[in-house]
Amino acid sequence: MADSSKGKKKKTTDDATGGDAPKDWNPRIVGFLCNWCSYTGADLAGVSRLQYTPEFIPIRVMCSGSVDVAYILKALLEGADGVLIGGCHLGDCHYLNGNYKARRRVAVVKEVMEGVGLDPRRLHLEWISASESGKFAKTVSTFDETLRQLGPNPLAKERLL
Amino acid sequence: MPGLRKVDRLKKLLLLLPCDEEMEKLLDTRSLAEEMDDPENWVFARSDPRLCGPDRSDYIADLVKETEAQAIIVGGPSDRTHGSVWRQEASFVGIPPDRVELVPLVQQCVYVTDEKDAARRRAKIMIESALARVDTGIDRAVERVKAMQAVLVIGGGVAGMQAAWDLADFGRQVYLVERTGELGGRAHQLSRTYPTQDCKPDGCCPQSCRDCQFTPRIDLVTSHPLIELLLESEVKSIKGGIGGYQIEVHSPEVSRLLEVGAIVVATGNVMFDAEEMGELSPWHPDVISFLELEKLIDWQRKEDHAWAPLRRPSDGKVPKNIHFLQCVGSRDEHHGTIDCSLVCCTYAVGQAKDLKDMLPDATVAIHYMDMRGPYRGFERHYLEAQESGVLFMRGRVVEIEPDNGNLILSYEDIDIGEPVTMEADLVVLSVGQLPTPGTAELAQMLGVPLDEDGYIGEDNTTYSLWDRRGVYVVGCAAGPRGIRYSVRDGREAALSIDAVLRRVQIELADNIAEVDDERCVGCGQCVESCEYDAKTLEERTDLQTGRKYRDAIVEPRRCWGCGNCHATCPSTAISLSGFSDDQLVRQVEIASGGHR
Amino acid sequence: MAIAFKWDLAKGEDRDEAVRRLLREALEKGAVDAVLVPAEGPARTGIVNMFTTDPGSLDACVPFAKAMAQFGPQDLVRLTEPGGSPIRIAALLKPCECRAVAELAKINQIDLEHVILLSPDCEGTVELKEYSMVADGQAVPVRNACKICRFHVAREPVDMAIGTFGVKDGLMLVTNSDEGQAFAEAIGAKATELTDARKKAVEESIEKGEEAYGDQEARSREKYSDLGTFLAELSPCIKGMNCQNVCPVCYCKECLLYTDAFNPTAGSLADKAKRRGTLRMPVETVQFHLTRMAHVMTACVMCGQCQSACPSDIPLVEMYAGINRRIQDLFDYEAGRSMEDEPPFTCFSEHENFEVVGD
Repeated sequence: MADSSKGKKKKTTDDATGGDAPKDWNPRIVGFLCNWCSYTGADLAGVSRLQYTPEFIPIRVMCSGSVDVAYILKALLEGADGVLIGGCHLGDCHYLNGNYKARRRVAVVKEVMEGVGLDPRRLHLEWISASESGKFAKTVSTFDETLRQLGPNPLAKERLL
Repeated sequence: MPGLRKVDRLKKLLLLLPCDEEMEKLLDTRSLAEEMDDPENWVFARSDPRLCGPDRSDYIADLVKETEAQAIIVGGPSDRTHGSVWRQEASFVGIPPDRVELVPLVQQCVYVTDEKDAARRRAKIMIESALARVDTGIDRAVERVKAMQAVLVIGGGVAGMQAAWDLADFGRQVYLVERTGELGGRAHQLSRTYPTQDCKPDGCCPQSCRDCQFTPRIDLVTSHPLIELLLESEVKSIKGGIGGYQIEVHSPEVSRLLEVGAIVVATGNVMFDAEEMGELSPWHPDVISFLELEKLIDWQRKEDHAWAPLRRPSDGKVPKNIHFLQCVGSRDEHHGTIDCSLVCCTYAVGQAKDLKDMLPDATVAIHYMDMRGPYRGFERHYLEAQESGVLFMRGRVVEIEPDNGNLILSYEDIDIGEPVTMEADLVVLSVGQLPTPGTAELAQMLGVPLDEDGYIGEDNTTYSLWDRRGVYVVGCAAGPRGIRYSVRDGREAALSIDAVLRRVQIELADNIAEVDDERCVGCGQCVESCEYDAKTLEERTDLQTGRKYRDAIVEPRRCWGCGNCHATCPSTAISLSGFSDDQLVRQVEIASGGHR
Repeated sequence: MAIAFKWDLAKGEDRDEAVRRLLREALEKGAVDAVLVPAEGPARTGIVNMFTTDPGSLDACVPFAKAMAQFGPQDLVRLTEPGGSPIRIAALLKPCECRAVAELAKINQIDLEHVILLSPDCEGTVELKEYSMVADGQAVPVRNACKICRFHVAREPVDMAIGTFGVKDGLMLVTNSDEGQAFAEAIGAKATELTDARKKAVEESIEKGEEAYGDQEARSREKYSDLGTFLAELSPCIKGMNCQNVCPVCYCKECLLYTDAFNPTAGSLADKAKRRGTLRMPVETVQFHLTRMAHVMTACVMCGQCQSACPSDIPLVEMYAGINRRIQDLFDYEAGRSMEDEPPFTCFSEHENFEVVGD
């Protein structure tokens, strides 16, 4: 597909607003964490006193594959600067393969985001096992850093959506 | 949804636990409770040391009485560690499990930052999103299903026999399905079991080992009136779930449908076939597996009723040079399995010692990697073998070459650190153990996952839901183990099953998918995306109009509550209790930007 | 395997009349019991779908109509619903409609067992309201969606394409299934060879379509790289849900945006307004459009009915062109291509050709 590689060269989506971020702004992250792996990993991170941005708000779901696309979009429309989805590693899903299905949905939502001018990096999928507290904290921190570069979610300032 | 009522708003008891002293330094739960207490909006927040003490239940009962709370939100521990504790606590005061929400302030809030203000702000958002989530829940009765009282046992080895016999002894109808024509499994192919408790036939025990009083006896099982034995039979399909399984079993010339409340999987495992390791000349008649050795010993014993000399298969000569090879097709990355088979060291030592007793002039050697005998009595057993003259040589034999009627073994002796060759006239392979072929298909029918080694996963924390699945995996079907442990597995399963089925009505856990008939269009995407075959499409008739339509239906007993169906359904016609759209959307709204 | 048949024009017949004759034959010879075909409505001011069992009423049928009737695939949903009498129906639909039919059949909304899908080569359609001008012989440009269409010629799983591209005289019936072949034989069509001219014309139409689509895709991606454009274009959305109602692959009984979750009660609206400061009423306009894109795009056949139905002229085709093929390509999926392809959200591959984890 010649045209899509053309598109890649020129960055098609850039909603970066980093320049005009308010001083006291910290990226708000909504995290959908699967009960069996990532949520437990997040528990362990806290117990291990690992630090990350307090603007990360966890939501417990049973499986990364149960995260509806509507929830992801809802979070972004409600002004979350980023959405993190944490699931079990591939092959380790408590429900056999929900994470594979999650991966497909995330791929679609990322395309939709890019297609309307919302930076797809605002949606982040990561496999974090119950024992990977370090990876959990690091994932949140790295994501926070990415969002700082991107600046506030441009949808957050739109009042009439 | 029949029987479901949407909840407008609930009276919520918010309990902020001041139990973690270190946490209190960062987050003053008492002042937070004061701040969040909002009786006008039906939020009753409390933080009291009594919540951490022995009188907790009484205190909560008082609070619930005082506030008429219909839901409990607990700020402190995580759902993963304390969810069951608090759901039980709530059940004591009549609050259903999906009206309990835990906010992991300890694990996921206060320690993530040094800034107290930020931690407090975060705690509030997390609590408010939990409040919103509970508020929009559905008033749902706990799902109860009737429990069929009969039990199916698949596999008639010692583990399956024990389970069957115990269950029958409890007065239950048991169907014991065995693929082969006889009961007993591998244990009954053995002439003796080790370590013996000094119970060898020349000792005081009148029984042969296969009729040992510690293992279930075949004649006891076959003669029990409540055990129906289905030999040469196989399970073809499994429908339903705990309390109500429908099992299709094919026996010779007849196919039957059994209705049972629980299933014991005792399908054993199989021995590694050394055929693929050509370098060990497995085709040679004098290179035999330990089970073949058992047959030789057994035959000798039967013929002569005494310790007659053992003869090797190729030419009937009495062997003078017997070598045991441990870990053939086990603890090996390239052949068989990476896992240890647990029992081979024990029986190889036992067989070697017995051979040494039979043939005192023969050389009997064991080539091993490590001696592993995780059983009581093993060390003594091992020492006795050494004392009786069995040679122990550490190192893996890499090649066996036939030579002039005998066999030449090449290996590196780890203790000497040099390659060595050695002559043998009989080689016994202690082969690894692998999952029974068909295990994956059986797991699929049962809707249970396989572990990475291909066995059906053992019941551990990750699979704790199994208790409500009514599937119990025992004996070597759950991985290699000794006879006495297999027998104990069978006994434990029988006890657990009896305890569960005795209730007649089984309460299914929360988080079960439910279909909203009004919204369902019968597209079947939930059916496709369900890994547990918990959903089917059903053609129905509208009783008023006579019009036919298609709807998804959920078999609650098979639902694992993953919610993948919900995310697959564009109509949101199917949802998971406790994780409905209403609840998640409200929670997302608050989590996304509530406190900007 | 495509097998071709000839359908010559009788004396004085045009191609529309030739197809009408074909359909009459089918009814008279009992190849099917009923037909679902496009027909001119009263006063020739519009195109509607006509369902009939009467060969005599086929005079109103316009097989090659330059406009597309609404709801063809949805009609088949109704006509093949469970419990209906199993009459055999020949449905003559545009190639894009047929692709939608395939998508609906995959998810049990249409039962194709007794349906023969016929699809004439399509040169594009005009807006329905402009049909009278076309009927009067005026030149009217085709709709946007048609300008960038990649599928002017129906392929599998359509039983029979009614070919005109690269066919000089008469029609070439290209069957793609046993049922299609049996149908062609039953109406007395004569077997023939697929000509090189036909093959070439089809290839050219695909190439041209690919080129036009590619250009539009690039333009769309450029245009919507700024979120402001998308939001600005949604400003006039009246949330009348026409786009969803006419969409052939949007098959829910009721959109999830109508559920309580997305229709907060008065109390929670006030809460929400307090939190956000303001609310656009009715709520969830952008949520609706984004969710719809995510839900529908894997099955979207780019028929453009949504945009045609929009009273606010929101350029939905342009919006979708930027992501439609890209999303389907993720899963090596093409809406309506084959009945064998599983809808992407019900399955997965362990080795997907995309990477979304950790970026």
